[in-house]
Order: sequence, then structure tokens, then C-alpha cells
Amino acid sequence: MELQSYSPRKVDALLTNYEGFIRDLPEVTAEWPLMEKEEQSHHQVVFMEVWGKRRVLGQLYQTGQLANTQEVRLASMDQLLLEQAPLLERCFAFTLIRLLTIFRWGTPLADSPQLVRIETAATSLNQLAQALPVPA
Amino acid sequence: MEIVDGLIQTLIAKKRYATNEEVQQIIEHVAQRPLATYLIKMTLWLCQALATRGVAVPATKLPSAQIHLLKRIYYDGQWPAGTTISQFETDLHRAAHHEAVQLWTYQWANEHFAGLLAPSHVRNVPEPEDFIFVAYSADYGTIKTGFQASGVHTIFTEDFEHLVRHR
Repeated sequence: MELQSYSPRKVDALLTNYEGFIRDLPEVTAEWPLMEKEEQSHHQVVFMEVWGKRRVLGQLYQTGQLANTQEVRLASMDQLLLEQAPLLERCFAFTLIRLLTIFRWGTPLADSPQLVRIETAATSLNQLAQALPVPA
Repeated sequence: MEIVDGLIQTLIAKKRYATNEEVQQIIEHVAQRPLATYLIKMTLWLCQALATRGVAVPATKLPSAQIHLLKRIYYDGQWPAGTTISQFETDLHRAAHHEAVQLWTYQWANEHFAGLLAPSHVRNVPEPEDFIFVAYSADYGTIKTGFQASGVHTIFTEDFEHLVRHR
């Protein structure tokens, strides 16, 4: 994928969209059962946009185009995303194994000793286990 | 249900390419469909984020399209401040009518979409991009969102199901 050069403001816009979705998750998912399908669809579309932006952020990180403060912000939001995995699974049908894609795309968390506390259904752990390479 | 909405759903279900005529039908259809106006509850964080940018949100619920537009203006710098929903809709329709428009169909969270990507005419803004992307829901018959993008590689991920490019 070819990446154009992103201005600091464009990178901040990507981060703000990403942060907005993550910060909204507790409130949105708490009300999810009460929402009409069309309102749920709105939030799914927001996630659809944000997830594409998250991939771009990963590539910007891997190519060294993020400022230090932006890397810190990305790491913080990635951690919060993972820690809210149960909310994404419950309302957006997005399992943990799909969220872990951020490590392929690029995340400062990959080099971080920070503890990340993740709650997940046992079925997600089974998915992860099945995706592991089988020893020869 | 509109015939073209059924066509989009069928293309996705059968994983087939649209004929040239079908491509034109879809583009013409999307280019005159309305934006989604279902009222969405404003979240606390979004209200605060807009407030720090000097935007007072007028209500506890806003139309879906207006929420997307506010982000385009105040997060992304992709549309001018003061753009109305009607102007936003006109811009997305104009993008759909562009002679070089590209067309995809896909599913996201079990919803059927037509995605259109065209060179952007919205240039006099803080952060323009080369293209405008329009996401149209065949299940609701409305344009769900639009935004400027540097290319298709910044829009689609492997999580878009049954993604097919028709044009």
C-alpha cells in the first residue's frame, strides 16, 4: 500500500475519529439493546469508517510518520480498544481475534511492556488457539 | 423495496459482477438517494469533543447524516464550516455522478452496501483528499456516510465481506 505523506493535522484527525469511537463504546453499548436497528446501523457504519482509518494509522506508525505524542495516543487507544473487547464482541459481533489485527497493521503496543487486561469469551480463546501454527 | 436495492443485495449474495447496464443503474440510483436522517442520540464524548472546537450541539439527538457531517467539518477538516445537510448531500450526489466514479458492493455487519469512489471536487477546505467515498445502504435505501479519502486502500479492510469492484 502506498502511503502519501500525512500532515500532523490529518494524523490527528485519524486519531480523533478512532478515539471518538472507542470513548463512545461504553455509552453506545450500554444502550444497544434499546436501540432501533437503524441506530445500531449508524454505529456500525461509524466503526466501518474508523476501522479503515485504524489501518492507515498502523501503516503510518510502521513508516515512522507519527509524532511521539501521536504514538502515545495511538498506544493508549489501542489498549483501551482491547480492554473493551467484550463490548465490541457483544454489540458489533467483532471478536478478539479480529481486533488483534492491529498488531499486524502496526501498533506501539507491540513493543510495550504495559499490561493489557482483556476479558473475553472462552470461544474467542478457542479461535485464537485454532489460529496458532501447529508444531511440526 | 427499490429494484436497484434488490439488485445490490443479489450481486452480493451471488458474488457476481454487475453488467455495464446494472453499474449505471446503481450509480444513477445512489446519485439521487437521500442521506440517512434517523435520529441518533449524541454521546457525551462527541458533545464534549465538538464543544472544545466551539460547536454547541443543538439537541440531544441529531440526524445520522448530520453527525457524520459534523465530524467531516470539525474532526477531519474535509468540508467547510457551515455546510448544511442539503449541501453535503449535493456534494455526495455530485461525486456519484462523476464520470470516473468507481463502484464496489460489500457487506458490513450483515448490511448490504454499494460504495462509490470519485475524484473530489471539495478542495477549498483545510484538509482535502483526492477522492470522495459514498457509502450507500441497500437495506435502508439511504446514503449512510461520505468522506474524503486518499484512496481505496484507506477505506477497505479484510473485514469488508464479499467486496467486489464492478467499475
